[in-house]
Amino acid sequence: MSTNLLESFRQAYRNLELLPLLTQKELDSFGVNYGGDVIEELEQLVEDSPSGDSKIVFAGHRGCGKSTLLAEFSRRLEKRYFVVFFSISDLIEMSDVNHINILFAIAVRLMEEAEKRQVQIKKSTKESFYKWFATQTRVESDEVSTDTSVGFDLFKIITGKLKADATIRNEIKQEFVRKISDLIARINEIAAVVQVATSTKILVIIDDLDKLDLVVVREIYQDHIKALFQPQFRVIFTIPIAALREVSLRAVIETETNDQIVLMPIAKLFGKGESRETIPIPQFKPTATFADILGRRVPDNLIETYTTEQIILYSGGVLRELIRIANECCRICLRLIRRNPHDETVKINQDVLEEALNNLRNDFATPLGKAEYEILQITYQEFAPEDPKEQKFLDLLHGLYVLEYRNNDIWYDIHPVVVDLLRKKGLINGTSIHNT
Amino acid sequence: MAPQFTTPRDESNSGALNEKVYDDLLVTIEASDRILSLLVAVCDDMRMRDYVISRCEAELQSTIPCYRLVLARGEPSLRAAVAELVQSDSYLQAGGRAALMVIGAEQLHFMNLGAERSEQDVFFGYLQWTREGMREFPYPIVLWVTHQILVNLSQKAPDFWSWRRGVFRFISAKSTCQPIGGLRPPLEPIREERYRSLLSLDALSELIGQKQKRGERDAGLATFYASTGSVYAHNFRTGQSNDPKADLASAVEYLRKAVALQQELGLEMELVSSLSELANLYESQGHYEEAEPLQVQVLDLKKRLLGEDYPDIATSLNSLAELYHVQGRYEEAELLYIQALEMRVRLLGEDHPDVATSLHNLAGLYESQGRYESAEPLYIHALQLRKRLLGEYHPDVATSLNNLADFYSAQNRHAEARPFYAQAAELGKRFLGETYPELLDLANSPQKKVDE
Repeated sequence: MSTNLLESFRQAYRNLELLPLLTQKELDSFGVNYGGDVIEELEQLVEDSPSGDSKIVFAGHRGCGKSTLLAEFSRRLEKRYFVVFFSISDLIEMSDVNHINILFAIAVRLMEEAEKRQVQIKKSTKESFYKWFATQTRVESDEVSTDTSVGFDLFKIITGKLKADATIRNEIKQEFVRKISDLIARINEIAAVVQVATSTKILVIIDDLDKLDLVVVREIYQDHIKALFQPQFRVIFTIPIAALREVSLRAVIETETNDQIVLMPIAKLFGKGESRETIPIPQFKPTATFADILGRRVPDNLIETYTTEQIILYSGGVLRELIRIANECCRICLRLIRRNPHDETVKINQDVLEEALNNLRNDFATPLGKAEYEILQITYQEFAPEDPKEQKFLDLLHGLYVLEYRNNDIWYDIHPVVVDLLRKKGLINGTSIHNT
Repeated sequence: MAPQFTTPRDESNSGALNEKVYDDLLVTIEASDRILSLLVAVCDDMRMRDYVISRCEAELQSTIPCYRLVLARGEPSLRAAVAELVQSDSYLQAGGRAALMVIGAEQLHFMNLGAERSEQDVFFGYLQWTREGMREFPYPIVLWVTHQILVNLSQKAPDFWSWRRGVFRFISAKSTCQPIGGLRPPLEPIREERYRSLLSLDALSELIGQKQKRGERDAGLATFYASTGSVYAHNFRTGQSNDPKADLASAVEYLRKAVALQQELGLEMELVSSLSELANLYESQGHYEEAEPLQVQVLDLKKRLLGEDYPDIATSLNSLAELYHVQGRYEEAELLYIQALEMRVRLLGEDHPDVATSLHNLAGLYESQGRYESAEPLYIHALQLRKRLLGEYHPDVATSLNNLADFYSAQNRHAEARPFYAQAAELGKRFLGETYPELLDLANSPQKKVDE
């Protein structure tokens, strides 16, 4: 019987959750020391805000570990700041995010957090704040009360409405789109009251804005950044890396943040060009970190050592890709066990990995057309595209087909899974990372 | 006929200036006898325009007969209008001398209202391309336009513009545009809702105390100053206190404190709110000369902070237009109202309550100018828009109904006014006791008017 094996794989599968490590418990179980210098950079910028209202833009590839890092960062600053850390996706349906509801979400989460921590705010003041929130979101007045538990429920109702009810979102937009200064005045008033009550500086961290489509990102940051940056407290916004490669958008963000852009790079498993060597030798340190990350989730006995190395290389240095590949492998193993319940030898090996990669390759291939293949081909050969401003290239960067690496300068490479895809299509030569 | 450019209430020098413009126009017409001469006369006040035309007609009676032509709404072609007149008039057919006064341009809609191009755009299109065809008409032709049309004319019909032989600008002063009969005060433009703090004065004074105790002169303190000012201002506006004079003084005091601190700390967006609140207070007291620079500053700041094209900018344009409107500076008001309207249509779409507000404001302006024909469709369109967007039972719909009723009533069109008063009164009753103080008297007063 391989009940134990089945259980082990089930556990490993559960461990290979793609979501960021947000709680201390998750971090304790799976966290490794990663991105320490990025945390320090962020902390520096937050601390060095002369007027206490600096805006920081935090960028990185999807799945490079931003959210985990921000969660850890917010815990670290909790003692010195009134930290409000939230994912925009928890409040607003992602297809409908705009600068107005981002600002409104800040107000909601600020007040909700004050409620959660039982910040002492004068009853009448609290009541009028609640009433305002209720009116904006059309929550019935009898649902509103300053009773602590009820107050907390109110924000649950509001959050639910914002997320599910497009009409409410639209109404809020209509209401404030022409008097954005009123909304900002309201937010600043709430913040000022919380600040007096807690005697602590406010730091808001908004995660997952980097998950938005580039068109939406452009609209929010290009057209409305001034409004978005008006709140009189520190705010960290997230943004996809591809957005920073749009020259005009980057210029706007640089100006408005006063050059406070922090970039979380992906792990550089190879130096520029090293992966093209006949026998590529990855950098030791990042590889070891990635092995550590995988080791905390998948016990050694479930995976071949060589395959572990391969999975790491196929991640391209993107944390979530590492987890995704391992996750896919685990799922395949669970199927193998189901088909052969008595097979005690099931293990993540090269065959399993090859099948997993095949699946992922297909995922990547689906939306690609001739033009995209050409860009990928050139970027692979030159470590840079012909036209880095081209929308198709930016989309490929946004979708992790192209990965951005940096030491002193920036260079681009192709996601290793996509490299295989190009090779199979005969667009590039050379050997695969692994030799099966 | 006694000159009517100057009236006792007209404090500016516009009467004398208009006399001069009138003389200019008259001598130009006389000098253009028997030749084609395209003249553009600008006048925003329709009563004044009619007066000028009548005076011309009277003075030229024995030499150059004046004809009045109205541009056709559907086909607003200057050439077609002139050709039609000439064809149908035997005197002109026989080669008689004449001066042509072309009116009706002011009635052309600048909005397309569902059509592909607006009436004004069609008009400009015709103007631009019919110049060659005008040569056969050897008359001085005076095209009467409003200031708003003039601005567009030069841009949209540049060829016609380059052929103009003269532009005659009559100045509308507030006093010349008092509603006929002076039975009721001019309609208040619909005002933008203003920011008001959620905090009570008690809470605010406590918070300010805490800030001061800790020696914190920061953004938070500025916010509390501004909030305090806005609460006093609100109390003053709504008459919610026993001592409105003290409220007004306190509002100004705290808003000034806020402005000073916001300037000191470089809090520009907050500065915008405080300045505009302050401007509104001054305006409500009739201190227009103090309000104006503040509103202009607000507009400039907003443009810098938010960019040129932003719905908030439209709000500010509208506020500034209101300020000009109440001062009788109609040309300036009209341009700004239209800018605000166009920006709103562009940024918010044609179906937006703010568009209705803009239409309303503009209609109010036209009504003040006696341009009833222009005002009416805007009032009606705004009412329909509001009904559709806000539902039949909304206070803004009631306001719209009431304004339309007043509008008809002011022109002695009582039969048309009556059903609107009745509907407004019905709605007003519904909202009694609700948080719309402006409607509290609505349910009664219109009824009175119906009874009259």
